[in-house]
Amino acid sequence: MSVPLTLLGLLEREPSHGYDLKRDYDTYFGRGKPLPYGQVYATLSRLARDGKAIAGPAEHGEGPDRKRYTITPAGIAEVGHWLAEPIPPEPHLQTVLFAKVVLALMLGRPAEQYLDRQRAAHLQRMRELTDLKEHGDLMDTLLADHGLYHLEADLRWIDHTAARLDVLAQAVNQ
Amino acid sequence: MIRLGLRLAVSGGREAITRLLILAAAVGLGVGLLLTALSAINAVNAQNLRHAWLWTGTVQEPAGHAPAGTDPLWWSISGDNFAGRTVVRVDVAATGPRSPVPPGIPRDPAPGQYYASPALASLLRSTPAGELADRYPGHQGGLIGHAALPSPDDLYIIVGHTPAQLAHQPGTIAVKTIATAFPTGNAVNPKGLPTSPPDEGVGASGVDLIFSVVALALLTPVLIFIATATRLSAARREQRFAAMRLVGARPRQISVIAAVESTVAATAGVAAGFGLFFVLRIPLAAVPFTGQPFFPSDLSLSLRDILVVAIGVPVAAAVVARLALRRVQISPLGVTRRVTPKPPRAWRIIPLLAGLAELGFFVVHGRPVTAAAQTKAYVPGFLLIMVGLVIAGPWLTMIGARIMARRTSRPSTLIAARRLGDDPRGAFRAVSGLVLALFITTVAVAAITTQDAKEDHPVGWASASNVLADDLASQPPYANQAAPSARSPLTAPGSSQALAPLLAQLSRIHGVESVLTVRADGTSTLPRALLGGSVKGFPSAYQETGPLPAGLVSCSQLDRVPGLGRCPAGATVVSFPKSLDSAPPAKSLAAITWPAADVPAGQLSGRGVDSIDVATNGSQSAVEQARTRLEHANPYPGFNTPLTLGEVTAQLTQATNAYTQLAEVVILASLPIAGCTLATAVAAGLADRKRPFSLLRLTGARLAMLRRVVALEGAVPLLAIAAVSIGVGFGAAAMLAVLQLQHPLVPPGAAYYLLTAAGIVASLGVIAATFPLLRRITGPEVARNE
Amino acid sequence: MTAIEPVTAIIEARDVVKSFGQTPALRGATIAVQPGEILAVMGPSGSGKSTLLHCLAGILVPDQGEVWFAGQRLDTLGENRRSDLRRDRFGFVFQSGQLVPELTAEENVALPLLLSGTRRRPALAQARPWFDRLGLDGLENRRSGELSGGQAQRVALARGLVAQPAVLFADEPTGSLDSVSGELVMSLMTRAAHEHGTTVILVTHDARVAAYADREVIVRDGQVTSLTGAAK
Repeated sequence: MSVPLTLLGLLEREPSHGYDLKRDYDTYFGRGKPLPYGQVYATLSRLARDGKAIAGPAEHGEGPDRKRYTITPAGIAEVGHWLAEPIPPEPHLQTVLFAKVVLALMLGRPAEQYLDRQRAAHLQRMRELTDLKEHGDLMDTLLADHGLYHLEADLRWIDHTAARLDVLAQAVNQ
Repeated sequence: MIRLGLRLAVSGGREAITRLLILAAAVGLGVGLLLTALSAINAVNAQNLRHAWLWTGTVQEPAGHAPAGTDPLWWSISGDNFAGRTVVRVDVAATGPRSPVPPGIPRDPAPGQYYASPALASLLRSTPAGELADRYPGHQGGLIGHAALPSPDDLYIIVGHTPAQLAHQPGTIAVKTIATAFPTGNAVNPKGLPTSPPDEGVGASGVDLIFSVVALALLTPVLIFIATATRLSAARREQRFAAMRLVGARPRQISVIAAVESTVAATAGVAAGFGLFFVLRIPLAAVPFTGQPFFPSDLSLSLRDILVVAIGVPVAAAVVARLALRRVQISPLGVTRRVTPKPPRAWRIIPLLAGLAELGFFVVHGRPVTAAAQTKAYVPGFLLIMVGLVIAGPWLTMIGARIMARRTSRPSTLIAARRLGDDPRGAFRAVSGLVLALFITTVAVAAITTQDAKEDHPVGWASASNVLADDLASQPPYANQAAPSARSPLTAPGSSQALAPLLAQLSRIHGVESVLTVRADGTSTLPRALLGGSVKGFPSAYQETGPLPAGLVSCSQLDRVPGLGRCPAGATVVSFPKSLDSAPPAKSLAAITWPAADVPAGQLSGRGVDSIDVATNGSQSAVEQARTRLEHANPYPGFNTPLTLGEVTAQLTQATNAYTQLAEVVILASLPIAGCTLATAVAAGLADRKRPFSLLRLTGARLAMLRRVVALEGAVPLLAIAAVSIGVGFGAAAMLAVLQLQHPLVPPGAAYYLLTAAGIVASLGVIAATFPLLRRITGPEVARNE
Repeated sequence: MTAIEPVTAIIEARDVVKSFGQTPALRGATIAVQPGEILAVMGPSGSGKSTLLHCLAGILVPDQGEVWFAGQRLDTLGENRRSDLRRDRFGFVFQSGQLVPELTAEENVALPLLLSGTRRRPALAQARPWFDRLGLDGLENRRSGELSGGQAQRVALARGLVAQPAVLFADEPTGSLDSVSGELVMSLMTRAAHEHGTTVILVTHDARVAAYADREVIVRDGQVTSLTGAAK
């Protein structure tokens, strides 16, 4: 689960306070495990240091919490890249995929295209595993089958989600 | 390709073999029927030809026909009667060694000798001489051979005489050749006298037509059976052909394979048909289709017949298969998208209505004059009606299904109604054979019943059916042209001396109750109204009007024969018909009181005898002995044959019976064939439904509900369309009755209703017979997800 | 990546349109298949992928567009020529119901050869080696009803390959099979194809089956798309 990129993506919507970013992250991605404040601010600082975000002037009033962050063009590019780039197919990447889809919908990016590219990557990996089955020994075959089934499950989810993108977009952008 | 086709045809497993067998059986049935009809036509023609020699003397001999130096043959032909059967008697006298010889015998019989047909010979042996053999002078010299006998049952006798005995007999002619053909036009013998032999034979062209019509009437249900059998396993075969097309078979190759399959079945069927024919030939020969049984050898097939059928039927099967496939266009994807076919449209009722209208037109405008024109007029009408029933059937089924669907809320009825509505053609196909059979049956039975009613037995003779009537005064029919020696001496006045021995002999016969002598009374007549008017529907030859020639009868004789009428009180002599058998009464003779005549009883014995009526107890011995005695009193053989009034009646109604029998054959044969069609169609339908029904059962539908669906699907079209076809049949028969029989339709008797009901019940039974099958084939294992 | 017209494509469809009654199944589908490649055609059910396969194989004639095989127009050929092509140059493995029940397994395999006029004995001789290759020893004389689903599909595969076709068309070849039988069929199919250089066009909705192919395309709304936006 890539926290910096997720926060950056959330930031792309509009300049936000760290507090707001944490709240949204918890709502959409926390799933019962809220992000520690410390991690939020540390991440934001690092992002600012890397030039992907800019910390705005401190608001009047309370301390460092109230700094408003704005995303930079570099940050936008980074988010764009991250969304468009398929994740190396591995098991248990549902959460990342999930995050990417939701963000793409929020940001009005072409989620379908991303899903297609993910499908292609999955299929390529499945091809490799199938090839391994053909030419490998018994252990290879068993492991390959394991991977294949998981990849297939992912593809099923991708198919299913792709079929409901418009409904999801509505829900997410309320 | 052909080898592949053969392989596919024979190795398809149980289902395919079953289909092949059913198809072969259907074709075999059709071929058997066809061969029987062809051979029957041949038999009738052969039988007919053997009548030709009876027309000797009436056919104009072509110049130079007789070989030079032929001695003439004296020839006289007449008819006798024994126990109601006609005996043909030919009296011949050869004038020299080179006289022509009739067929069937080695030489002309010598004087005092006769040749008898085998049937007559056995009768001569087994009956007392006084009943039969005494009629024929001489002894038996041999048997008449097959070549002269139209039928094995014929009673023929050829009696030999000296030329002197025959030369001066009226009606005897001298011939130089024996006829081998029938005369064209009216037959007249050299003496200018109209004549026809006692056993004329049947008009060949008429019988040809009838047999052709019968063959068609029987073939139609068979063709429907074949069509139904062809559709068995249609889905599976389509799928198999689709698989082959996928793999690259050309459409033409598929056609060849389908044609091979059909040809194999057809060839097997042809063989079966020939087998059926040869088995049926002998029993069939004994059935008197034309009134007389055939010799089994007459039921033969010419080489042309055999070749046409043996080669033509398989070829026809191949062609039909080819045509059927041309319509279907097997695609490599088979039947992937099952679209509900378009429903039948209302125009389908038109041919049926047109056929009825065509017949109706003639009812209104009057029928054509000649028999040939009538045939040309009616046959298209009937064909239209039959074809129209088959065309309109699916539409009627659909209408019935729609009505059923709208007015029901039970699930079984709804399912049945929808299935019928979706595929009315298939549902109708199953019962189409039955529909036609019912139509044909109805028309045939109604027509025959009306015919029978029309030619009702002359009521009047029933009370006197055992009276042997010997008409002496009207003989010979060409009396005005013949010498006095041609008349019976008993007709002359003052013949009591000749009469007494005859009367004594007659009264000695055991079983003769009394004898009535009708004495001449000049030209006196009786009013025809006394007989109750003319008999309705009696053959027109007897529809005479005008007064009846009358003679005199003594009341003392008449009182002893109450069946012939009564004397008024106080009369001693009454006027009585001169010749009983030519005065058909419309009311019972026993109820007639003859008018008293103004002649004293004592005068009667001096008058000539017009006719002698012998009242018997009806036993064969009494009737035949009396007949023999009466014939002995004839001036020459062939003068007259006395017949009982019952025998006269029988002869008049003989013609109808032949047609009745044919119609019965058609009815009896077409109903079972239609039943086979129904059975095949129901079985095929059941096979189609295995899966949906078993799934229904799994989801909780009870077997009883499924049975109701199957029952409704079969019974509803059956009953609905049976009603229509019976109704149409009655309508057509009514029109035919008015047209041809000039008689309103007479409703048929109980036998018809029983037969029809039996046919329908049997069909319902066929449907019900599939119920146990239903349980087995919709068991849960069928719904396995394969 | 610009889309270069692959001149070496062995079989291709160009802007094919095909409708069934009112329903359009293909609306301008374009695809090019390279010789020797195994191509998976994927897509949801009803997307038209089977129709595309039927058009490519000459089973159906498109309403518009062109189909090319080995440098010749396929869609303009008559019924007989297309049947001949299917018999001699193409092979077919469909989901089910493609064996002729009245023939034995080896006769089924030999069927394309028999249809093209090969005599019975040489045709069967050509068919027999496939039984060993595909693990069907001893089943030569069985009828299709006596074979299991997997065995029947392998017989169908043998039939598809017996005439050494240029292209093998497979439409859900493992659809009625369990996973192990299905795997066996796919493994044998791809191995045989590689061995003989046969092009395979494989229609499937199953990703694990598609994984046996070299690449995949998606049919969506009657058109062919690539998942990566690369050349089709």
